[in-house]
Amino acid sequence: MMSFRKSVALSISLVIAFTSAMAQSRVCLPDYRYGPQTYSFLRPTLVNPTIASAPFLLPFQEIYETYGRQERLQVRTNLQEWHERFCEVPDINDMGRLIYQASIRDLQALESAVLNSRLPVPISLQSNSFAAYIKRHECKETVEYLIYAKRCEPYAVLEDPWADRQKYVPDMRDLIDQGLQQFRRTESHYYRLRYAYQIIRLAHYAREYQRVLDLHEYLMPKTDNDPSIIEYWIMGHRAGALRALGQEVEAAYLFSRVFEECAGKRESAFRSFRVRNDTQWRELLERCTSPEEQATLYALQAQGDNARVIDEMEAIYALDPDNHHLEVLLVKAMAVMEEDFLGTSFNRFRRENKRYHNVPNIKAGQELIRLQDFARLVVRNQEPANPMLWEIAQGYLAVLAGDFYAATEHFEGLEARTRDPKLKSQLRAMMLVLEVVRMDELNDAVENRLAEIQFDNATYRSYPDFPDLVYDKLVSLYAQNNQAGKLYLLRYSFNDLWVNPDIAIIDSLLILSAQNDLNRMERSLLRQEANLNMRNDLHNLKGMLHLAQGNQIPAIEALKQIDNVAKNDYTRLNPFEERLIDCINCARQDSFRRYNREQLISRFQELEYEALADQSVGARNFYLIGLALYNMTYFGYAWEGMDNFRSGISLKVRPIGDDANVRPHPNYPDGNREAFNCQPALQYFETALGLAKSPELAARAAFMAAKCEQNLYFAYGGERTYKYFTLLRDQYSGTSFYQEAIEECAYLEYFVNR
Amino acid sequence: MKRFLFLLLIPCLLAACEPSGKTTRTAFYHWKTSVELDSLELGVLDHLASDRLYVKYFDLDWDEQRGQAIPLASVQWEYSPAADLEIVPVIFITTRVLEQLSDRAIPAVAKKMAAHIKKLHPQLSQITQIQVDCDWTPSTKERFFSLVRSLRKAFPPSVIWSATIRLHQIRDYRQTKVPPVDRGMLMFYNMGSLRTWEETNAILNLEAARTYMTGAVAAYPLPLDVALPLYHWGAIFRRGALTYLINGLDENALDDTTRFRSLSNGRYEVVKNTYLETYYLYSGDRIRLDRATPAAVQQAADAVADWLPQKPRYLAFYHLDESVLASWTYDELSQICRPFD
Repeated sequence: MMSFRKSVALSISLVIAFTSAMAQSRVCLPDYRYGPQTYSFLRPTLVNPTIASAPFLLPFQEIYETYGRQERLQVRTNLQEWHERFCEVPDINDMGRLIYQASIRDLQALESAVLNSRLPVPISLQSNSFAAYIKRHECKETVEYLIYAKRCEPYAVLEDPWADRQKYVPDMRDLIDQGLQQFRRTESHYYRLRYAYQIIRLAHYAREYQRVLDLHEYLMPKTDNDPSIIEYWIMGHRAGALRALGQEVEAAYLFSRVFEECAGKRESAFRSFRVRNDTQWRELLERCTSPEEQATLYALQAQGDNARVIDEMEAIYALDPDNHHLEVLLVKAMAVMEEDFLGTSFNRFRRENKRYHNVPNIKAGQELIRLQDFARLVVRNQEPANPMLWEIAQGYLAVLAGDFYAATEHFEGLEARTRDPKLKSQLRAMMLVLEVVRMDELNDAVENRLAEIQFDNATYRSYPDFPDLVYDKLVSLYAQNNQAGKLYLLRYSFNDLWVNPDIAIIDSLLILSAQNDLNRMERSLLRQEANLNMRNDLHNLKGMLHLAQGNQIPAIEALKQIDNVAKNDYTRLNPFEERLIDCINCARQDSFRRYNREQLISRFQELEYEALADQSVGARNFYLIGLALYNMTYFGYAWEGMDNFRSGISLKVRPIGDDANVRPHPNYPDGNREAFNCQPALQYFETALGLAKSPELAARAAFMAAKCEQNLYFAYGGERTYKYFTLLRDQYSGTSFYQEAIEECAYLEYFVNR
Repeated sequence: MKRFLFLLLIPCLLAACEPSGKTTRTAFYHWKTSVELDSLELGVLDHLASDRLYVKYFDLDWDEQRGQAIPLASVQWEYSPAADLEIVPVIFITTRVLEQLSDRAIPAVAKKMAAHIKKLHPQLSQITQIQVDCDWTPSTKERFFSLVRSLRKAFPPSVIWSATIRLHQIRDYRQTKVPPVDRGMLMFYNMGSLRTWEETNAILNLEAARTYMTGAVAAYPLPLDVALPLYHWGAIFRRGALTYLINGLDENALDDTTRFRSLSNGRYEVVKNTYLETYYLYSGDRIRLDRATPAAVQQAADAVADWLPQKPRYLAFYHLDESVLASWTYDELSQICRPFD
């Protein structure tokens, strides 16, 4: 399932990627994060991406992982300003290359070319339209500034993080002095402002905080430029110095202004914004010059971890009802409610979400009511900047509250009135969510509709959490309506049933596969298996399972249902071979007749009938049946008689659930059923022992019974007994079979000699 | 032959650098960026005759943008240590670095770390011991051990190396293995379940400690010193989840009944939205105060003295800070040292 954060990350990254002048070709999404597994259908494109708080729908680390740090935005906005300054004549990419990538030597050569008309633009810059422009128009102040900025650059962005910045302070002071000289002789206020920025930044990085303030006081009145982002860059450094000097309220105020007004420094301003206590908060509110500025403070406050956003929304609304931060906070608050409420009754991870993530939160109900009340108020007063968003939100909040009637009423007519394609798409998704979550009965109409959504609905395909939502809803409906077969096919493949067959599922699938009027979902479930012999397979599975459980009558009844032509397509074997040592992969005698399962059970019935009719063969026949049944268990060479898949690790792992025959397997999430049960074989060996006149046959039966006893202990645990080994040792040690067995069977030898 | 005799003497010479094994001496951790000791801090060092200060020199963290290991929060000296106070540099290594660092880059990073340690160490003072602090796990142990081995090469063999050892590293040492250092510093704190509201004391919980220590510490292959906590904090729970940890928070900061309501056992509820130590709290948030009280630390000292197979050379307190020490008396601190006498 995709979290809201992840989808925010995706959308914001796409916005940035497409709008950036320095766009990168690849957008990396954050890795999977461990968090509650919930559904999210809110797209961050719901909100206007130019709103200051819009990117902060995500935590910082995820913003970085998604589209890099703020520096990219800083470069972009700075280049836009340079581009406008030069009337958009030079190519903006060339401007970027000259400002950010040219070496100081290139820039000095360019300066020489500007000063001396006979010197050309240096070779490395000859194809650069901005360099050509500077040369053509003899922009001396431009190139002088660029050289100065390039000299300042190493001190602002220390290449070596292990270097000691303090070591460079004397050099930084020299550069400040040189900058002041150049500032004084520069006529252009565009460059004066930029010199002021470079000088103030150097002082800040040299940790000379008072000097930052002094320089600001000296330089800024001497600049008279058009509005520029550089003013906010300077403001950020001044705020940093103020904070270092203990003027925290003024610092926080300035950081809030940078956050609101300057995209390129927004993240660092947010990180630096700090309020120590309630007194400072009150002073900060008083410091603001307008309700809009105060609203920004609340928007910043709403970015705290797990913030209860509704508190901030109410405060902002009271100050500035059409404040643009409100729509960002609305989406943020809805995302929290969505995590807490959407599909919580049928989400397959609901237990883990509650146990490990406290989702849904116990207080979420009150918060949802508050948020609904607030959205209602905003819509009623008709004041928001984006009224359609609020109307759509009202509907979705009603979905989350489980008030499907109210949600339907809200959504009705909205689609026709919504013009914005992004909002329209969002509305369709919410309406589809409503349709799915409100389904509470299972019938053909519901299944047909869910199949239609799955296969034909464009909205379903464009929101990554719809498959999970529809799947979980179907699982829930099938489980509630005892549709074991359909539930199984939804969750697993038919092949998995071969590994862990279940009578209830098999019977349910037999009923389903016999139906002529399947609905679209049922057809899809059955078709995906592409198995023409499904009914024969199911009868075969059922027969095998009954046989493994020792139920021969229902087993043969099931096996008789297999089409005659297909009966020999399934397992054929001869399990009557006598082996002292169990060997799964040893060669088998191929001279024996091979039986299919139905024939095998018929053979058991013949042997048993003969035994009852003629006591002289009774012991032998019961021994043979026991032998065959034993050989078809997990421990025998003919294990395929009672199982389709045998794993060597099954005895070494604990059972899944209550059935001790089902063991975990990495390839089969529902487990692997093994034919561990030697009890039916043991009963036949006991009967043979009771009837045997020949000590040799009795010894054989006792030996096989001992193997059953031992394997029952290995498979199911409990108290270990040695009843039949003791019997063999005490009563049949004189038989030739005993001598043969003790030579072959190391365990018997150990038991006898211990 | 004489040369070989000299080699045999080296371990004895090294041991001579350390205090005698008969008595346990006291030390403190210093975990702030700026080292400027005030009269209270100096008084505590003097009163307990502490002759060693473990000073965090820097954090080694991973810079995503640069794609390399970088030092953060490097120490700044505003105080000249007395000649009889041994300064032990401590380097905190984040697990993120170990997850990201390639095996090939380790020697170069170790070289930079060594140079940085030497640069940060006060002049006129020799480096006799260095400690590495890292919560390594079975998956990061090889890189951590490799980093320590590379670091050791950058210093003379006479320098003693120690590593902080967390309780799970004691219990699971067969999986987490033992770092290639001379001594371990058992961090006997932060043993409770911090994220669980019902936890009685996440800093010191002897019942929890017992499950880590019993049977394991006696078998641990390194000689151990012990670090005990003196600090306290407030764990802030919002919507049932641990949201913030406010270091140094105590009852005094929560005595305003218009903002906080006392529940019981050091637990509070916020009754009005408010700022507390730069954190904005909402009404309904809950606060659990965890504190290393004198009684709890005394019990911890008694227990750990019993569990350790041999007497530690140093009992270190975490950490030397005016706000932490303010709630302790000299006598209480002296008393804690007694089980190791």
